[in-house]
Amino acid sequence: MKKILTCFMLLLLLVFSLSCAKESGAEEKESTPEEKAERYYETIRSIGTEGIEVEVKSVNMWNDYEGTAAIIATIPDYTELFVAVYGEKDMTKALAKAIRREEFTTIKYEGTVPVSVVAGEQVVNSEDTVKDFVEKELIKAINAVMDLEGAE
Amino acid sequence: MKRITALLLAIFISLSVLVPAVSAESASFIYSGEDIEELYYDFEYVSGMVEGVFGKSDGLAYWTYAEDMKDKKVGSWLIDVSSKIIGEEPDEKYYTEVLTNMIALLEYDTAEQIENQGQFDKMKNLGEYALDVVDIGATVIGLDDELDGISKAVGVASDGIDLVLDNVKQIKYYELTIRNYANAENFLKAVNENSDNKMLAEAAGELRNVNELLFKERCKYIAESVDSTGTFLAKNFMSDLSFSLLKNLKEYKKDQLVKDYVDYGEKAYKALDRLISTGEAVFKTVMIGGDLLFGTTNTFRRHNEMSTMADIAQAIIAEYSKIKVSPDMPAENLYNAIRTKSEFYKMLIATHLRGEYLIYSLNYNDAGVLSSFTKWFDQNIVNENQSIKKWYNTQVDCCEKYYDMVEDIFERLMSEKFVVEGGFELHDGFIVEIEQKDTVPEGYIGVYSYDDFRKIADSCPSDAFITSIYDVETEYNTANYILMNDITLPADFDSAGAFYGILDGNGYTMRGLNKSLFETIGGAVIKNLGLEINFTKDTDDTEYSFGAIARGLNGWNNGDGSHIDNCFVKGSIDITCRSGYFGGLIGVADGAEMTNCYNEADISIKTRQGGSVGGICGEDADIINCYNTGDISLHATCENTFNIYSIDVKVGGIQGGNFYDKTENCYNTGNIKASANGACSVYSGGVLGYNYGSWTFVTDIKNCYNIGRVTCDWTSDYDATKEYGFALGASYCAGGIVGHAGSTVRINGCWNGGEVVGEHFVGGIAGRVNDDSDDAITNCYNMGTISAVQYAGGIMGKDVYEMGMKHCYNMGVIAGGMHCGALAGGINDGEECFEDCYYLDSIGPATPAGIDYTGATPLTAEEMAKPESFAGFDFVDTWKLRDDHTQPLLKW
Repeated sequence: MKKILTCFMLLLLLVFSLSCAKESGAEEKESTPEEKAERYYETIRSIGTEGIEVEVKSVNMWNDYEGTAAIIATIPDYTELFVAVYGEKDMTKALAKAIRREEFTTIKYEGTVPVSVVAGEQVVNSEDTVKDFVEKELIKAINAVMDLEGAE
Repeated sequence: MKRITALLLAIFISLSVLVPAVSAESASFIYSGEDIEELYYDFEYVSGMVEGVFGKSDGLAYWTYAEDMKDKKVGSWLIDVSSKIIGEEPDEKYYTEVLTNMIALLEYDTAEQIENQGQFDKMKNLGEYALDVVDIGATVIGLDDELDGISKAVGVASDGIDLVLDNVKQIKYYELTIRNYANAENFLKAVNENSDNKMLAEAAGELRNVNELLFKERCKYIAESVDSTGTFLAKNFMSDLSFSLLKNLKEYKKDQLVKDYVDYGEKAYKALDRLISTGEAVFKTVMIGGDLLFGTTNTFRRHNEMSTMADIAQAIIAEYSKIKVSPDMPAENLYNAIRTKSEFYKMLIATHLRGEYLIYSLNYNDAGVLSSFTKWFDQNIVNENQSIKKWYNTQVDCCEKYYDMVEDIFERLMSEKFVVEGGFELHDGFIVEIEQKDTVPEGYIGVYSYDDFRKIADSCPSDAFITSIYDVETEYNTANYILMNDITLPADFDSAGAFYGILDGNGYTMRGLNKSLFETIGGAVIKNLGLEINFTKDTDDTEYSFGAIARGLNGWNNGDGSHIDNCFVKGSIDITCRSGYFGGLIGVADGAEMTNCYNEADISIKTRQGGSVGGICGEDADIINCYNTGDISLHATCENTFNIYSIDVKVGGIQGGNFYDKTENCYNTGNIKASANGACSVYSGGVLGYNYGSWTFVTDIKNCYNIGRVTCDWTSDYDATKEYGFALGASYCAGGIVGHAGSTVRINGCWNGGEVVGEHFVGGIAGRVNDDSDDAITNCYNMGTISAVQYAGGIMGKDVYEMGMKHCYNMGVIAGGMHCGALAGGINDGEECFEDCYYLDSIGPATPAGIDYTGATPLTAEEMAKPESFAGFDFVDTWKLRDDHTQPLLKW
């Protein structure tokens, strides 16, 4: 009987501990401001990668190893996004929200990029050119917001 | 076997990380103790200028911009999120790359040392040198494994000096490797331990381990290449001992940080490599060209890198500020401290140049330019007369000039400059050599001990108002005394009263002084006397004056006839009071003559109602052949005043204020600072704070120079409009020689090499000039940097009437806001005032709007080196060309 009682008490203790652990685990799940900010940043970073589409219109090979390709890059309108969140109390949060909800239009850029052949496969090297397009758009967006800031 | 000669090691290796474990046992020095002492004064000269120009964000566009961006929340937010979107936000890899690029630059500097090889030409004993290098490796760095190989390399195992000499090339590589390791370690440690940017600090910390790994690999390589290492050449160092040495290690394959370090380092090398083949001043070529090709052309990367450079600059400044450099240090420690601090200066200049290059490049970015940035740049950096390109070239020239200056310390060029230009040397003892008398001369009473001096003191009554010579002769001490020993005064020493006789120190020193020796002197002669003082006073006296010899000149004839000759003061003076006159030797001199004296004491005064302070005397003496090396400051709170003319704050290296007395052949090397809060006028000068002058006769300031830092600060946190209905005003002037030169004050044959900083009226020679003659300033030049909010000029800040400036030139950088000019910031009515004046064409804003610069000619550096460029200069009696043919110097 004594053994049964001891086992029962141990079981009770175990259930109690697990319950406490679960509660404390629930508390740990509460995000810190830094974690929240990092999630917003992840969304913001994504618009520089997933938010960009590159379509290859044509490829013109000079020889078996190199050539060029005509591309169209579709880039988010950063000006629209930045101006929309300007003046918000938490601009980072507002920007992430707008990106998640896809509250922006896009701009199309056309360009010619180099093509190489790696392991028998054609590789369109559009990264640098697209980066230039993104940079131009971002600068345009910053200038627009700073003009607003200056006007105030 | 301990063959370390610490100083030799210090000279060749000279790195702070190595210093603590080194001890001196023998002396085969290249530089003597006296050389080191000279080096110290050269360093002090350069240090003040370098820290003044590069130790703060003013005048550096990238740093000012980085600070400005931190204040502008929206702007910095936009750069931040844009960097994230484009994938250029600073992360560990980014910081590793930025730091590695800077280390690559340091390596190129090392390569340049090899290219020049000058240091090795001076070596007297290569065998000793080689063994010393081995010892330092063993003793300090503790690389036991590598040491076996190194020992073999230098023949220590067989104790064969011949073998050492045969393999001296390897030793040179080894020594350069140690130097290079320590430079990188110092740089990374500075960033690691001082930067507020956590990620940057961590990256630097981790790179310290990689730097050590590279160092060990280099040591191994040198040891194993005894027979195969080629000629001692920069290109061999760069190819055989570069980052690539780590490529075969397992760490390169397994440790991402090591891989990044090697890859980024190689990338930087590749970008810079074509320059090494020139065989010229590689590092400087890189800097001058601004051709730092590594990094990226991305706008956001550049913006972020500018902030990182500002963080690095702050970390370097914090680190070098911890290094104490004092003439009291043992020679080897002093040398090491100077060398290490100088290396930090070079790192700082390189950091700034990279920062300026980045901000300059932003103006030419193909992708487009931020309009807010260009607006900021136009408003804050360039002016209407200056293109961005010209601004950038000026910055590069300035960096190069100071970089050279730091390097030149060790070439001892600056020492020559001191002797040639100054005409004086600093002294341990007396300026005029004394043959001490063994017997008491006739007519004198010998003073052998403090008891003897106490008798003199007891016969000098406290001063009273004296009306005639009869009073003096009957009531006061007019006897002649001569010291026959050094005398130490007791802690309870009380000043003697009024003294009217002769006190000949006979070359002896009175120590332990904690009050003025005399309350007052009148018609007295004090000569050949050294004084060591530590004086602190906090008093509510209405007017309190102080000097180590006497608080003031007083009596029936005031200072007339009093003569202080060949005396010095060392120690410190620290006074808090209401107002007064304070000098190293005399408080207020009332026309006394002071010759061949110097002050080494630091003097710090705080008053509630202004005052005058100078290294030699507070106010009013004829001063000839005197100098000051102490730091002198006066801060006044100017309580309960609202009239700016009612209170003056006057600080000078030689004297604070002067009415009609002449100042000749004097110089100052101490830092001079005048500051005040409230309604008052503030003046500071390297030699004189304020010289009133007279309408009736000429007062000369002649053949003087200053190399100390002169500053003049004024603030007011009291809103007088509430109480008086109008705001407080202030007048403030700072000059390398004199803050304010009054009417009929003529400045001739003077030069300034110290930085001069103030808000208004700041000049290399004079802050403001009141004289209206054609020769108010003649035959003067300035080398120091001049900074002001408005009215900054290489020779003069601004005049009051139509003064004339003749045969002057300026090579100092002008950094200021409005009304800044190469020679004068402002001229009354803008009228012509220059005659045969010149300035270096790359020093900053040259010709302020509305001023007639007729008679002032810009010259290139090459033209500066030619006497024929200086039409009107008298190269027979007044000027000569400097020995290294870079500029004219005064002959005196």
